[in-house]
Amino acid sequence: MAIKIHDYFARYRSRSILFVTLIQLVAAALAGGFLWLVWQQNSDGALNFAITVAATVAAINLVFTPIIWWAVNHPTRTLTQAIAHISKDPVVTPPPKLSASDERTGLKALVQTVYELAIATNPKTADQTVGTNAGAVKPTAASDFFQTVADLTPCGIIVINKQGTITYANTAAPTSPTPSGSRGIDLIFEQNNSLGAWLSDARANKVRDTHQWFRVGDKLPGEPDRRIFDIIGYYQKNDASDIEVVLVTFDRTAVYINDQEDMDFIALAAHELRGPITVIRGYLDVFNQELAPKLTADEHMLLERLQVSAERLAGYVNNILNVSRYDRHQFTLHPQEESLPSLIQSIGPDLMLRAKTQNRSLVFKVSNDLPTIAADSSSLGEVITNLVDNAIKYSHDGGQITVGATPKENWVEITVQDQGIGMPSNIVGNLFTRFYRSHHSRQQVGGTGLGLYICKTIVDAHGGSIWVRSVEGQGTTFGFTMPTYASVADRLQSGNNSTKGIVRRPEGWIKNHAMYRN
Amino acid sequence: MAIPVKTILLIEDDPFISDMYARSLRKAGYQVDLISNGEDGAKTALAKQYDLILLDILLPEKQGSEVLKILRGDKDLVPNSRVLVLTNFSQDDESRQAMQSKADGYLIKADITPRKLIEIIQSLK
Repeated sequence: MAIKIHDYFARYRSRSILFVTLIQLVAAALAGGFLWLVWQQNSDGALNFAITVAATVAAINLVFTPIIWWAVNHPTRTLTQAIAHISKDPVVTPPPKLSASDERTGLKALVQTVYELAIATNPKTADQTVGTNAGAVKPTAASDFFQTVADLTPCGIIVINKQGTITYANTAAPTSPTPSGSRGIDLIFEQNNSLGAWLSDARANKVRDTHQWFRVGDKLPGEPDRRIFDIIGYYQKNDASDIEVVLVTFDRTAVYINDQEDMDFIALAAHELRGPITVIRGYLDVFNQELAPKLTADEHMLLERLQVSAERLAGYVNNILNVSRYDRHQFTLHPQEESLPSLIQSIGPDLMLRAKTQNRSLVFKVSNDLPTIAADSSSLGEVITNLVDNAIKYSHDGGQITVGATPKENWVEITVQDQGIGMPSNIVGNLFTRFYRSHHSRQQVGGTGLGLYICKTIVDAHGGSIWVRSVEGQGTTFGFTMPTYASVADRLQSGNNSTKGIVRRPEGWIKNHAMYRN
Repeated sequence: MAIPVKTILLIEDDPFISDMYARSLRKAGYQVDLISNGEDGAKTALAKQYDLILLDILLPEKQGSEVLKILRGDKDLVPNSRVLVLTNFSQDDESRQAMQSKADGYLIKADITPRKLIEIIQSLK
């Protein structure tokens, strides 16, 4: 119990005493005042009468106050003791003592009901039932009653014991029987936010813990009758009890389906935005080819700025689309054997131009003999572009940004380093959260706060990890890992026959008929 | 080995976009026909058997996906043409649909400048 019941009662008691004392003082003051007034009148008959009245009031006060006090205090204390006893409050452990008079007043019946309710929700309490004076309280129909109530609620309730077995699940809970005869939970948690992960963390580090999950489906997207839940989990370390975890699930399918329509709207809006972007980028490209030789250096710079801005605009739209696809669980990767140097070759010129127009120098230190990686080239290009964009944003005029890559066992680590403003360590942990913008960025730089979030999403989806190291005033390095193709080749090939002969590019895919039709 | 592309049909309803690509493609020496709706696009593609068909998805009269079904549905009626879907829809559903309907490629217009398009056409295998 988070609140100590005994403490609560002690507060109640001291307040009650204060309150009764106050009433007595007021009564005494009134009586005294009355006496004083009559005394001033100087009339013997009236004085005698007044003394009688005052004495009677005092007597009534003296006799009835303790009676009233006892009548209120006793049942409250008894109930408090009972609840403290059931919940094993450390201060009050013995059960309340009940007398014959309590049976007459009905207090005993009340206390028994409290114990029955406790037994219905936690059968273990039955072992330590109320003291002898009150008589044994036995489990009753109350447990059936609560079973019925639990089955009537639209919330799912799942109780799991220390062994990980489901010991109770009501009707609404998304569970189903397993072949071994026990019950299993029909929920598809995300890999890095699973029930198991939370539980092992809680077991290792916590005495109690609460965790929430949102948008957890019981089937994969696209399967019929899919339901989507929000879930709250309670964990309590309890060696004696059979209850280690209680999950409460809320069926939010109706709400999230509407959400899905909103997301479709985002996809549609992004599609609309891409129309004009296509035209702007395209004609700028035409301009660049046809006019470049005739332009002055200054005009040429303006044209480049236009080009870079159009590219960044296209990048933002891609970020929004990616997030909307990810949120709808429609974010799928098509990893293939890719060579990082050739990807850099394809996106490098655009990035160089971006850096150049914003007066930064961009250096690629990517060796040609790196092992090939298993990556979705379009998504990987977006990660590198977002990180470089970020480095440009948060570095100084004239600064250098270095993109490097080093092989590390089964991974290739790609880093993007700047010598910019850096950031304090306390904000580093939040960087990969959606819409998170650092203290600097809110004041000085624009942006949607989606870039790093989508980077993390893409890297996670490849099985890699992303990190950041930063020193305020000295610069920031972002790094992430991609699996080498050799380390995952067998897995990729087994599931990917349909895409054989497909050449993926940052802008889409093309069939290679030389491979495809043979 | 790269395949030689000489004739191109561009099925695209946005006049700016079709003009933009056509201009550069013609300059690069390709013979380009423009059609701005799906219905006529399918008919023309069947009648003239182009080396390359560039097909938008959101089109009046007939959607690009329906055009693909006509051209490459039960039977491949344009066996000598390459069909590249050129659209701004990047949902995976659309991409999968295009693949199932036997397109030869799927490209995001917003990321394909005319120069890039020519590079891709030149590298078709």
